[in-house]
Amino acid sequence: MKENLSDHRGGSRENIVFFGRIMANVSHEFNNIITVISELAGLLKDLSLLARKGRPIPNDKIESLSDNISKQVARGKHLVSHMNHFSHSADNAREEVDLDQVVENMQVLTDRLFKNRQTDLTVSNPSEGISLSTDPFELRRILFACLDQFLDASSHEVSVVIKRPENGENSELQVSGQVETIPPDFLDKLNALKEQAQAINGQLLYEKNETQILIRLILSSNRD
Amino acid sequence: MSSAKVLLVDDEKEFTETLSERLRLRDLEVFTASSGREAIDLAGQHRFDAVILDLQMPGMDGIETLKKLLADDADQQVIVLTGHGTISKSVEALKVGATEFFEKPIDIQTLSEVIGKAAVQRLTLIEERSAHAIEDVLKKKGW
Repeated sequence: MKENLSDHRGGSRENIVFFGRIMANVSHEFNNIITVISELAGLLKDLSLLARKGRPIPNDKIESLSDNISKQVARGKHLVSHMNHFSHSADNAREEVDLDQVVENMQVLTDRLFKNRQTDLTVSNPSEGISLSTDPFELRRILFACLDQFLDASSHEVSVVIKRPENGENSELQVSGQVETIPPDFLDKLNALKEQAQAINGQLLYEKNETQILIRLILSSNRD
Repeated sequence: MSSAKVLLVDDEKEFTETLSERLRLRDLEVFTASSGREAIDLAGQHRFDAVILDLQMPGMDGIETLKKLLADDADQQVIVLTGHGTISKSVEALKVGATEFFEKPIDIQTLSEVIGKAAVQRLTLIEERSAHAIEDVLKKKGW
């Protein structure tokens, strides 16, 4: 079921900031890919100039360079596909989404952010194929905001668990990890997120102690 | 002058491997590091004519690495080569002491020329420092 954009997407500034952070991160990755392809092309040119001067290029060298270019193209294509899903997530305020795909989408698009902080992000999904009707863009934004808490808290490992509780009515995303410090604005941010989760008929709960944070985003398919 | 010795610092392994191969074809001696920490360790072991440094890397970022490289060796010539080419970042890097700032991808001819200039500049700085040191000794001894 699809629904047109409605008023519940408040905080447009937050949406733009979120969109901007993802795009900045992805554009950096694209530039890395372009740079590698540019160097590979340059190396081919260097070798062909040397070949003209009588230094032949071994076949395996050409094959290896060609493989490397193909690898970068595949890397770029994977990223484009995820960027496309992400961009279209803003099209409708409500539609059927696959939780696995949403989490994978955010994992791919935030990969560089986590790598730069040397934080490992792992996803586990004991019950595959959970779909629900929600706002695909808001869900991504709230999930990213949850993940961002761990980047702020200098966490080394963050785990996302996708689960469906026993009663079968609500799905849940659990984001947890060890942290070095709890950021001073942690409570303010989590309280704001609670309200935003309610706007997509979700509930956000958290538990924390000095070294561990667990954030639970409980999502109901029934919006009315 | 013997071939320049260059340290290439970037976490994108495919990039450092390919660019170093191209620079070696131009008779440069090239070392690579995939992190700021590794770069600092290598710079402590070798005297590089130029360091080519990315800004966005896991762990110690490029600006922090730049500061540490210059703290360890004030004459070190550091060329920033980054995909994250904002004006504020370039101003910051140049203020900290980077020799040049370029956005990726860079033309190999331009990079080779910049490395050549950096090598000459480093040599000049070292010679000037040696000359000052000799002058100081002469003054102190009253010769």
